[in-house]
Amino acid sequence: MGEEKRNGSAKTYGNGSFAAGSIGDWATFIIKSLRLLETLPLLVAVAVGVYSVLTWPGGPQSQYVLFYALLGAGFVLSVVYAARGKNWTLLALALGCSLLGLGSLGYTAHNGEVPVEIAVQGAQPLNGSQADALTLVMSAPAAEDVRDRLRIALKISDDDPNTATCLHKTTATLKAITPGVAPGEIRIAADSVVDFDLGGQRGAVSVAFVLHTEPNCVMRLSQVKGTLHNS
Amino acid sequence: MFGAVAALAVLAAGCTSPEPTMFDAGKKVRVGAKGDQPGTSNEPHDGEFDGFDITVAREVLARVGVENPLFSGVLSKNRAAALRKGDIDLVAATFSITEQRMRPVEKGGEGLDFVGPYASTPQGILVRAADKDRYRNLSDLDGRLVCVWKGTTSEKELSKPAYKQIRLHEEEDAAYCVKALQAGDVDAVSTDQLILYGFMEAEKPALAVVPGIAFGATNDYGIAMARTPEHRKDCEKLRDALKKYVSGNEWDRDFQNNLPRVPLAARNEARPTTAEIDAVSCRDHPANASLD
Repeated sequence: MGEEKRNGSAKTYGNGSFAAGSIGDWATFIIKSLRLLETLPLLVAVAVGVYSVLTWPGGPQSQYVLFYALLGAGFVLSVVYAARGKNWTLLALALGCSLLGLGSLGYTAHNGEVPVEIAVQGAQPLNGSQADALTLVMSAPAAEDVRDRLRIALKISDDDPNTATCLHKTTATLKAITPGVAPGEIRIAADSVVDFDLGGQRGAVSVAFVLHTEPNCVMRLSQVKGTLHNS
Repeated sequence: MFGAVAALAVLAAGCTSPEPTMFDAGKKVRVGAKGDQPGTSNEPHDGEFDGFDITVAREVLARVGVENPLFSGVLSKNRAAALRKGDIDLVAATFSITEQRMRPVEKGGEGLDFVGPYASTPQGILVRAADKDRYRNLSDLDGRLVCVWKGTTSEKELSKPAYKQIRLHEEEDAAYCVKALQAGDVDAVSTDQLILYGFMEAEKPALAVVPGIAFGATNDYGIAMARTPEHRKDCEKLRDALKKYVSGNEWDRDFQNNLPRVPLAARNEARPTTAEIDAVSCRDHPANASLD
């Protein structure tokens, strides 16, 4: 292996020799790579955040607590890692939190609660002297919103809140019209939540609502909230 | 540090005297009542009140240690405001329990707590005794002039299209309607059936309740108070006292003494159950019906 030195420049020859220019390129590459590595977890956390905004599945915020916690932790750890650098544990934790957050979001999107519109068909108010009935109809949900169960929260009110209250004398029967939905029939009070097993039903679901109250009571089904869920 | 301070605060609170209540010894409990409804809530002489509402209020208050409540007249339209302003402590004046009255003020309601029901009644028809046999159901009143007063359940019910053949005459209160009936200016008076039975007894033998006509929503009467945290405890004491009162023979005795003309079937319908009392007493909203 020979070596020449001219005008301050150096060249190497033979096996194992290297050029200073190559060293510079490699060094730049390594430094750039290290910087990329420093910001990578932050980029991943931001990417997960942007993806979640663009594909937000909806539903109650409470079901996203784990996602928020993981993404928040991933973001904070990413910033700490970018500042300190070269801490493999921190890198793994930062990436792990962001990616687990992404996983949590995906799980919630496929299994989380989905609010659904329940249409109330029939004339209101409901008179206690007749066996007045309504039909509650949930339209077929989109494919990604299909779930195993349908929870319905109902509120029956006095038609005129200024007249004598009948709420404590009022019940209703819910009867599933759609085959396979269980329970097939259930008695509820004026302010109730009922959870139906849809029995694999993926389309529209209909439930009959029959009011039971005293003959002179005039009532109204004032609130119906539907939620599809798997739990 | 904070835990220690909190523990001290709790201890200090425990050492102070109990919160004052409406029923503390020496306090005068002021009860708003009506003065023009014989049998239910009446003031035959200045400062002297009688009727079933008055009796129930006295009985229930006696059970929480209040022996001589101070009754005073209150107009129907002023009942809720007088309670909230603190002019009176309770109202016992054929005051119907409604969801709107129970609802908290911040939710658009009147923010009242009720102890009740202590009696329930449908709407009825009072006529001159000589005409009683003319009427068997509401359609017999088609074309007749019926006196009601504004804001009552009867006024709302008879204003419905189903009763458009009945002509309504509006007066300021019950007494005016009864005078108009006696004078022959109207054919009938309509309001809560229990109130009408009270007039029937007071004006016997001139007036009579038509026994076969009961209609409209059943009004449940309650003793009302303004809702505050300390009043809620008072309310619960009164509720428990009322439950004991209706569970014994006293309710029947007092009902019979004050409203002797009410037939047995109507009296049985008027009598509350303890479950009904639990469902609407001392609550912001009526409880759900039992599904048993």
